[in-house]
Amino acid sequence: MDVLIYLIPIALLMGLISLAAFVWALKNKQFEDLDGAASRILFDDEETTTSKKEDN
Amino acid sequence: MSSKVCQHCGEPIPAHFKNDSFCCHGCAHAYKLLNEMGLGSYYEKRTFDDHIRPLIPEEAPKIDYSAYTEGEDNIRTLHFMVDGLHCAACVWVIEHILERQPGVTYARLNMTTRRLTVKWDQTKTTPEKFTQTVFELGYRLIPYNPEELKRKDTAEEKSLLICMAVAGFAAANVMLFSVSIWSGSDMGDATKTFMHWLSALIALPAIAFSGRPFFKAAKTALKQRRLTMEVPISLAIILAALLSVYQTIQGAAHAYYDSAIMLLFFLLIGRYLDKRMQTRALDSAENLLTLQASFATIKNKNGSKRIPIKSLKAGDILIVAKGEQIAADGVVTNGYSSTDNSMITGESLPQQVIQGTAVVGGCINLEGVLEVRVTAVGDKTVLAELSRLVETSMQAKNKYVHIADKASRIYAPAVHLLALGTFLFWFFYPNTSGETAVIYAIAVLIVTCPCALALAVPSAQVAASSYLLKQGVILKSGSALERLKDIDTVVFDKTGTLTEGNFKLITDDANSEDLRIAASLAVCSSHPLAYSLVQAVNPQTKAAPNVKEIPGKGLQTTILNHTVKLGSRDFCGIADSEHTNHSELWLKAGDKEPVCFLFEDVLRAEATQAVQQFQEMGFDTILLSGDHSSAVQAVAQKVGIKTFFAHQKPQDKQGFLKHLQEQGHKTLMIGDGLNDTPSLATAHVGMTLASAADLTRVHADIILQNNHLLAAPLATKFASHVHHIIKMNFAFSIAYNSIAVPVAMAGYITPLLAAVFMSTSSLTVMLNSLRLAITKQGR
Repeated sequence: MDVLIYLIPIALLMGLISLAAFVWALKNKQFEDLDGAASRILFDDEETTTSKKEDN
Repeated sequence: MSSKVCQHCGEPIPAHFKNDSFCCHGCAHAYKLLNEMGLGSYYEKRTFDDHIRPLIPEEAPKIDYSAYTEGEDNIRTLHFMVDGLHCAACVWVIEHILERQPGVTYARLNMTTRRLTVKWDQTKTTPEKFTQTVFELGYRLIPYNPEELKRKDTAEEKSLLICMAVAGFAAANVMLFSVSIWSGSDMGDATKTFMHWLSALIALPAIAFSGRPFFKAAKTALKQRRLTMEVPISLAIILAALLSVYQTIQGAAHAYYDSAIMLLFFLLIGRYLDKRMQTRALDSAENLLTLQASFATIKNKNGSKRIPIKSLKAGDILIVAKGEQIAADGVVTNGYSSTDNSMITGESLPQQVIQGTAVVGGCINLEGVLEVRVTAVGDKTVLAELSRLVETSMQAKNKYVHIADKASRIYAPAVHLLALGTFLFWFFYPNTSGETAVIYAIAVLIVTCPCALALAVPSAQVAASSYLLKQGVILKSGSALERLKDIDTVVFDKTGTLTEGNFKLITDDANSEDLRIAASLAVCSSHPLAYSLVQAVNPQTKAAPNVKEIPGKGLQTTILNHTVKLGSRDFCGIADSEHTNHSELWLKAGDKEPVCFLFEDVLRAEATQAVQQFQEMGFDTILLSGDHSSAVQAVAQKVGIKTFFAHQKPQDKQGFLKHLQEQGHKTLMIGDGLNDTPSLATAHVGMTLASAADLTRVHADIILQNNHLLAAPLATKFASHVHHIIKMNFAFSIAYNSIAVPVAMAGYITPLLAAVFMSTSSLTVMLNSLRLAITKQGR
């Protein structure tokens, strides 16, 4: 059962990290625009300044 | 109809138009602009949403942005509401076109809230410049002040979400230890106690942090000597935590950390959903309000400028363009026109106004440009008078008791009595210690688990409102659906609600040659009657040459040396013959006999069906209108309403509804005019259309987004369905409790059993509610 000495802190730490990540994301306004975020990933990159690019 | 559609706005191109690709110069310009900027791929990505206003390229209005601008340095910030957003490509194109303007440093458009934030360098560009390009594409930007929209709700929603996350984290981790304890039957006592202490280490701070929303509410309730749902909840959580600490110290076999934290987690989910629904409803309502934001053009030394209506003063000279709403009460100082007063009085016929006529804010100017000297602003206007009528009714409405509150009024005392009874029974039972009695009593408190009860209403409401939102029904007040299920009488307004509020040609005996000539003149005017005439004859009519518009009178031209006139009775020189209740246009071509065209406000396509559906559901239907009796009677007969009243002033309508309520009827009022606003507030449920005036929408409980009347019976049917689901949810949670409570009272409950009861009952309730969100249309 000695392994618990490592396992419990590891489990707790992992949980805490994800909690911290969530709070960070919330404070960082990551949840403000869920519809937009879903589509934004499909937007083209900034560089396509000319209309010649039609790469499919 | 031509099958060609405009490459920019997607609307059909009129057949007589020579261009094959675009419907107007604005669209052609927008197309060119986007391709020049390398944003042409927009056209491949986008999809149109029929519910949204089509793209109409236009000039940016001259708005004084300084009142909305934030920031002290050169970098300034403005917030806009965006109208005409169809899909993600719109977001993309607006952001890119703004960011490519010199001087704009930041542009971010939130697709969910349809709000845009722009930052720019003051020395390099102006808001007038960068908004112009967006308007040229056909979107409209309306500035708003975020401070005015910022509510404490949003902050509260966020803090609830954090509480929920913390509780969820703690619940998961404590459960990890609990499962080990439950399954590790060969676990030594020392290990078990160690696990309990670890659980305490996680659960206690988490409870202290995440429980605050409940503890605070319970404290306030107790101070006011009331018993709300929060009291037994807080008591159960705190006692469970304290009992667990005590048992851990004693080295006992069981501890309730998992129950306490899980209870809290489920309750927070319910609380969060509740709040989320409220904010979402408010958000959509606010968007609607800001979109029709209230600007007025006033005359000043340098010509004119647009200012927010709020900053109007008495004595200002308003310039009211054709088709615009008059912003405040006043007197016409210049111009000749007619006004559409249907919003204020319910009358469908336009009223002539000349210099010196008093006009009421909220009326629409139909013809020439009017100059109006503002005589009253703020609370002295006719509108403000209506608002006062509204307020008193709203106060009465706020007293409505939610079904959840009703449940908690029974629930809270019942739980306390059960716990007390358990304690007394075991305290006096031979051979049991007082300690055991306390433990059993607490177990009862924990296991009565109000989480299913707390989830019963919000989970159903959230599922229902998201379904209804997709159907174009915005629920503005949390209790709207609950109230909607009680109604037995439906009261309709006429103008703009059952009818479209537009005119349609009803003369069918006119000679087609006359009609053709009339249309060729009418196409040059944007007067609503002229527009309907053209639509009725041939939307692609070519204009006659040299047509002159004489504001307030009519149109005139010369065809083959004959003067042709189209317009009012006087204009065409017709002697005062019999008057009808219809709006009319006269055509006088040369020496020929004058021809009269009659127009009527037509019924909405789905009006009859909507009324019928209500009647089939067994509701009384009544029509109340401010219009003339013959017009009201005609509409009532067409839609099949037997009871109708004409010449109803706003006060009369409100009085009528009050009278109905006193007789014990529960009314649903559907109306869109400002004159309906007091009655909307008085009725058990007030429903309005998206095209209604601001004030009307503010005080309605439900807004039908696409002016689609059939959504009204749909929502009403759905309301009783939702109520059914909520009752089922209550039944589920009561059923679980009726098993769990006797077990707890007998002293057989263990933390494992408590956890099983709690999560199964909550899950059942949630899943049951989710059925609402996936309901098929037409239920």
